[in-house]
Amino acid sequence: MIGYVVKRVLESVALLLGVLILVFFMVRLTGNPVALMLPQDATLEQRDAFAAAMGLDRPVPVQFAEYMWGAVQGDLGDSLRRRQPNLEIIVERLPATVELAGAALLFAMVVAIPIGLAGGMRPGSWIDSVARGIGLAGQTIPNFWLGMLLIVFFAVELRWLPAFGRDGFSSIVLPAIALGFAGMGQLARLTRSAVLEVRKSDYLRTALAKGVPARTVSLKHVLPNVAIPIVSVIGIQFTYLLGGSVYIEVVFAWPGLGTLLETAIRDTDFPLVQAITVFISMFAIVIHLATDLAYGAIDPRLRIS
Amino acid sequence: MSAPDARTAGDALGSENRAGEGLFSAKRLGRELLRSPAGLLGLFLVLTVAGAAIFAPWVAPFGPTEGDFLSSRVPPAWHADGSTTHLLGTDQLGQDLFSRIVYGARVSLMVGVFGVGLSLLIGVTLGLLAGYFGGWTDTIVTAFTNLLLSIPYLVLVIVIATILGRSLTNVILLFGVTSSPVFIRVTRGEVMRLKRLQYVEAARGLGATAGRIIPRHLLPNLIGPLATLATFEMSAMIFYEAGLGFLGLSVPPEIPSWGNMLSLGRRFLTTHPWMAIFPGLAIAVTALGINLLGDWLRDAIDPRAKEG
Repeated sequence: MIGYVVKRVLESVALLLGVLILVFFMVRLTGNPVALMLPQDATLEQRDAFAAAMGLDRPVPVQFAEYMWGAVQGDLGDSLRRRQPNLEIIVERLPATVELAGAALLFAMVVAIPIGLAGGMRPGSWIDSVARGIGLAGQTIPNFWLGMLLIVFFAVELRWLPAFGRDGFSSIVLPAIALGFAGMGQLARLTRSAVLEVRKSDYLRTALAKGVPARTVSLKHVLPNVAIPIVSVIGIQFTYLLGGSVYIEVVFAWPGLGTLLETAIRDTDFPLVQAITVFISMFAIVIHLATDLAYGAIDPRLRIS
Repeated sequence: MSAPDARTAGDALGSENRAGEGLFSAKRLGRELLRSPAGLLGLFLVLTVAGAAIFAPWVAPFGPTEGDFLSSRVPPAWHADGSTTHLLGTDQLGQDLFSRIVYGARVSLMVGVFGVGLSLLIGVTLGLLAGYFGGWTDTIVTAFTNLLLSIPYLVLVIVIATILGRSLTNVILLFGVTSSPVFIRVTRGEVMRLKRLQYVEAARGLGATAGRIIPRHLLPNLIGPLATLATFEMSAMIFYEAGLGFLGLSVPPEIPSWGNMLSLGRRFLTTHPWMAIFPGLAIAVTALGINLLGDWLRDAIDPRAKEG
């Protein structure tokens, strides 16, 4: 187990470094970061002055070394427009995004897992059709569009729930549903097919044959075996939700990292865009590592590969 | 053993594999499709959208940018204030929404088809190299794959789109490259599994080179899993393109695309909701068609994968 932990931690550190390098060069992809950050009608003098002020006129290796050295010490640079350290701005916005992603994940799990379990236990029944329907709907309905539909219906027509902003429990309901919808579909599909897989196993047939009641079989034999793939997908889902929340936050004017990224892009605040990307990826890598370790602890088979 | 012998023997062993190619015969797939209502519906939806995209000038009653300020923000035809001239109503410039949706299908389908095509090309090439040759190639390709996959996909796409700027080519390149890791993973995994199978080892043992084994013995077996993956990736790409358009980061605003329409519609969401509802519906219908077709294809190619 220790070997597995060390290996996974080292891999994650390597990925983190990789992300830092990738993001640095991504911003320089067009060869001219200054042009990206200034309005098109900026004069040559303004460009030169800006480049000098930002340190963008120095050789790229020097810029790179400084960027990496800062990042390793937890310094993600300063915002171009806000005159504030990027990390500070990001940490301020993080709770809103985590809250939204958490609520979305909760919504997805609470709906999808019971329906997927029930559907998988009785293939061909009406509940199975519901499970399959949810699975398909999650893949077919774009989350930002669903968000707009929810606003039109529940906020504008019925006036049940607020359409915008973050103010108490009622304001998180619609964005959480919109964001969690795709994950709900994926989880329902996965749970259902995992149950179908387990149902084929010999140990389940034995349990049923020796007269164990169906309910006991579901809870003691099916659920634990289905839980393993579900846990791993939840880890992946969370990463997806962090990205997907950009759209949903914009639709619902939710004051999280997503709207921050959108404003940073509009303001051509590239240092901030760069910092958000690094931060979200770092967050995702850490969550992925945590899921993997939890998973390795539950299922010894995984520690080998 | 001389080379010609190796060739015939390899083929004899490969024939066991080629029997499996019957899976892809048009006749069998056609028969299967007729028996699947969901698959037929999927095909119908996909053909409808593709037809609209290709024959847009004949399908659409108006030009995509043909505006009439006198009839701006007309609601859909079934609405009390609607008119039959504009079936789905008009936007704030008086442009016909139905016509714009028909033309918008072009952008979505081009991104879907060329984006997935590029992803396949990159994915299969790198996946084959990594899976077949292993060693350093594999280490580098796998590191690249893991790296791209570790950045939350939508954030990656949004940031690169911002840097590249708005154009159809850029959007296709962007999705083609960023979606390739999934194709690399699937190809690499399949190749690593296949190359240990007896028929491949036998072919190699008889002197067949990589240049022969890869196209004859490996590629045909990759068609199944890659075709399924490609359909799902295509519907995902159409989603993501619309999402980028929604944020104002996809094709230039003057091009009618579903994402651009959504981005505009969002501003009038509380007063003129149809401007956002219909383009979104077009995306959902397209995605439904592709997914139904993809589900059917997966079951038809590998009946064991059938759900339920």
